[in-house]
Amino acid sequence: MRSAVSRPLLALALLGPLLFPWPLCAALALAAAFYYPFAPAVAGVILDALYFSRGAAPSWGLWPHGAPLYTLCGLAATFLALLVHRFVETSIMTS
Amino acid sequence: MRRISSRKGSRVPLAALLLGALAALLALARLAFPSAFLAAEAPLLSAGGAFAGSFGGVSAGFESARALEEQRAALAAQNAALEEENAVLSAKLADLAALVGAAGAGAPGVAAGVVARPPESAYDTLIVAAGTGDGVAAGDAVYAAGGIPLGSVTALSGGYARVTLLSAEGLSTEAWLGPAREPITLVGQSGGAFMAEAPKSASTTPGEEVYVAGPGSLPIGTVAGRAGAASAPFDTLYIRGALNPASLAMVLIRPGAPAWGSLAATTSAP
Repeated sequence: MRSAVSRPLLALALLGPLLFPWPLCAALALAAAFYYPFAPAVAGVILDALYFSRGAAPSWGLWPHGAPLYTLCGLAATFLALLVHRFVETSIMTS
Repeated sequence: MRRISSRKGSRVPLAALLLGALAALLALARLAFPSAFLAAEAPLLSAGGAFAGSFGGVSAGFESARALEEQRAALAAQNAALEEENAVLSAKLADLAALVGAAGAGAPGVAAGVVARPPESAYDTLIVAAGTGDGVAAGDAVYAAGGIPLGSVTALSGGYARVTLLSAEGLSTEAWLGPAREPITLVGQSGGAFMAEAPKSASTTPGEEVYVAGPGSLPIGTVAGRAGAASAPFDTLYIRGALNPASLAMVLIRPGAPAWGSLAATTSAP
């Protein structure tokens, strides 16, 4: 039952950058992070690989011609998702 | 209970491994072979757009036929008014061209269909169906219908190009404001919108046109609002783009035409 939801959700999150506006892609990736914490990072890499171009984002630190914002946001979301997963697993084990 | 946790424990690392491999593969392909990646992604984006558009066609069928009929009548009236206005402007242009010469008229360009646009495109970038095979080069200026400046070509493959719009977040472009041509610096805000700062003394009002340099003064947007603290020496201008990038279907690429503002430095960077 769980995989019946999680796998289509992951597929939509990864195919979303080809099909949907980016806010919907971000929402799908965050929803998929509930089951697969690495989904936001991969969705961010896909969005940047497809659409990023020089000058398309503000320059910042290591990236003088624009930072890959979606990859960075995806990595941050993945980090948070891993923390939440760890917290939930610990809560289940101690209860 | 043990079986479930055992299954879960074996599934999560495998999924993470596969997802990580996918991300690494995509990032490597994009960085190592940018032209081949662009050539491979454009047909996928085109197919994806057609697939997503088919859902729009289905949902449109549920709209009220009466509302559509009213919209059609309004558009027909608007079209008739625009035709008349166009005839007047064409006559005026012919007079001006005869007077000063037709400099810039018939300038060479490559018409290209837009494969992907915001908001599907996560940044203010377009993927267009024209590339090095059509004579397009990095840094070429890109225009919309009516000569509205859009941006510049920043990546290329044989048949496709990636265009960065002037309204990309943080991108700055020198421009002129209103009939007095007061100089301002536009800063992109995504989605075709801009912001700029103007001296408190400037008599700018909403609705004034904003222009950038090109073959003449090219309209890029209109002032939508003005705000600022009474004690500040500058006001912030909110500028609405002359067109919505989400509705772009075709663009004109002018080989050899220089890029604008900070895009020029970006496209010439190594």
